Amino acid sequence: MSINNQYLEFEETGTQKLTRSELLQLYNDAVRQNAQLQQENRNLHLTVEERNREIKQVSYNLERVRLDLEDEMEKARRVQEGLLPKELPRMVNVKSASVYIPTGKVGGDLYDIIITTRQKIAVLIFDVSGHGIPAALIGAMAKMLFAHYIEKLQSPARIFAEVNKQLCRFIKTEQYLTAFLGIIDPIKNTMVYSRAGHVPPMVYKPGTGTLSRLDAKGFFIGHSALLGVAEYCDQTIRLDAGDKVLFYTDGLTEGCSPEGKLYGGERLMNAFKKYGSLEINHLLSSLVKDQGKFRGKTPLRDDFTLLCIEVGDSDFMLADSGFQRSDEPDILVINTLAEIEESCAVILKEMDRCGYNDKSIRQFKICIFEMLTNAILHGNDGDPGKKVIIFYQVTTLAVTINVIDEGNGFDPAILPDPLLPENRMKDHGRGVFLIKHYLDQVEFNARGNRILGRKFHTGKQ
Amino acid sequence: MDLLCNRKDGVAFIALVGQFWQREDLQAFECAVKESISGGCRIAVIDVDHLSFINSMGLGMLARSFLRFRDSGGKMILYRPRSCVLEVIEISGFKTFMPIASDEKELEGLIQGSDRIL
Repeated sequence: MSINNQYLEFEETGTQKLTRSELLQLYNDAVRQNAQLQQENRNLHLTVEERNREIKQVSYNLERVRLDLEDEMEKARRVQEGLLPKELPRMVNVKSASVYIPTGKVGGDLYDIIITTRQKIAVLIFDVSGHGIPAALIGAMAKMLFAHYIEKLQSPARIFAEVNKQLCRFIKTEQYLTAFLGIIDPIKNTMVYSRAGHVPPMVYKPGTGTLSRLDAKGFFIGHSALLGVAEYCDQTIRLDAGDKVLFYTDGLTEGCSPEGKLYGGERLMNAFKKYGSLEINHLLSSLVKDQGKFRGKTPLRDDFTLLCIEVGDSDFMLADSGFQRSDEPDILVINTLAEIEESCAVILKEMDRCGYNDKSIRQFKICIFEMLTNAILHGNDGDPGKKVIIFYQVTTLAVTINVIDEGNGFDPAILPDPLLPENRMKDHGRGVFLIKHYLDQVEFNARGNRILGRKFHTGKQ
Repeated sequence: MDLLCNRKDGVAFIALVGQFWQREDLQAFECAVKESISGGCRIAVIDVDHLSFINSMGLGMLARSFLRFRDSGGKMILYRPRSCVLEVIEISGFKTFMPIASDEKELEGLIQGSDRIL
């Protein structure tokens, strides 16, 4: 294109010519458009800058929300882990060990061992579906409910039914939990159990080398669809000395190998059989290692729990108690003076139920207090780490109590007579005297760390 | 257990309410006895009307306190024991050395007798 004096001539076509004024007009238009474009460009820059600032603010807010959420999740995880027992209780005739393998998320696994006031051992394991804060909340709620009903009821099936009824009222999400509860009688060496959709625990009997699963029918717990529908049943298993029961959650069996294969129940059974004769803590670490070896570097999908109990020889324990297993005595264990009243109340309540008169109950109370304070203060030297085991039996014929401490014993024959003038004003030495006065039968074992006392029923007066 | 203490005219009144066997209760009682003696009381009336339970530890503390008062030239009287407490006290031979008043009249007699002795 070239410009001559009068026309703007398009040389390429030679068809269009512009006058000077038209050219000026065109030029002015171009200048205006350019200025307009520059202004729009500046506006665009400003808008972009503003949007950038907004995006930065939004991402900052999002990051804060994410951190808050992470903080909340960490707190929830700590709450959930806080619900796991720090250490398992010391039990008579039963050893226990547990392992909890977290995944870092808030899991739904919970377990507990609760010693009831009658020294029955309740072993509970449950797994709330899903993860996160809802699972932790439901877990906390369920744990409290279980603890309440375990103390109140003796049938695992009834406990499940009650917990289900309560949870169904409160859980408004689609979540639920699976559970297994076994209540062990350490004297009879039996376990009454119920299963609520949980993976069945396994029992290894080293005597015969056999392994079995504790299957029992039962719905899971807490889903609103189960209200008024769920049924649970009790089953009883005999546990011999040395038998081990393995409770676990499905995070263990659902561990995957790098090829995507599940660890599964069969592998667990084989591993349990292989390591079953080990001491229970070693047994659990061997099972965890076995599963870890199978998984290789594949991360855990779910947290898991392993809990193992091993029952002892109740005949051996009863040998020094004055009772036979067939007597089916009840058992209490205390370590400190502060526990005396509660234990005593259990026995006296039973006496009242069997129709003993008030005087007998009052006199027997003095004897229980004397036996237990002697056992704790003199037998165990006040060491709270040492146990005092109380076997007792209340029938309509007699009430019998047997108290064993962990001390070296004493010779009751050398106790001075507190009624002798030289002893009357002493500030000690009346305990055994009162026991002998009030009871119909009092015996000590050869070592002197066990006392047996019996009072016959004299009728209600 | 609750422990109620009062002092009047050289007489300490100490009431034991509830069960008397726990260490801290025994210690609280012993403190009350020591304070009564150091406060110049020569007679202590231990009101056990509301005492519902005592065992050998409680009896031992009563015996020790009795000796404390006696050794300081005073006297300790057990006042209004219920039958359940009295039974244990009698069985343990306390009646042979510890004055026991079952009512106010007997208590007055024992306190006046003490005045004569003292």
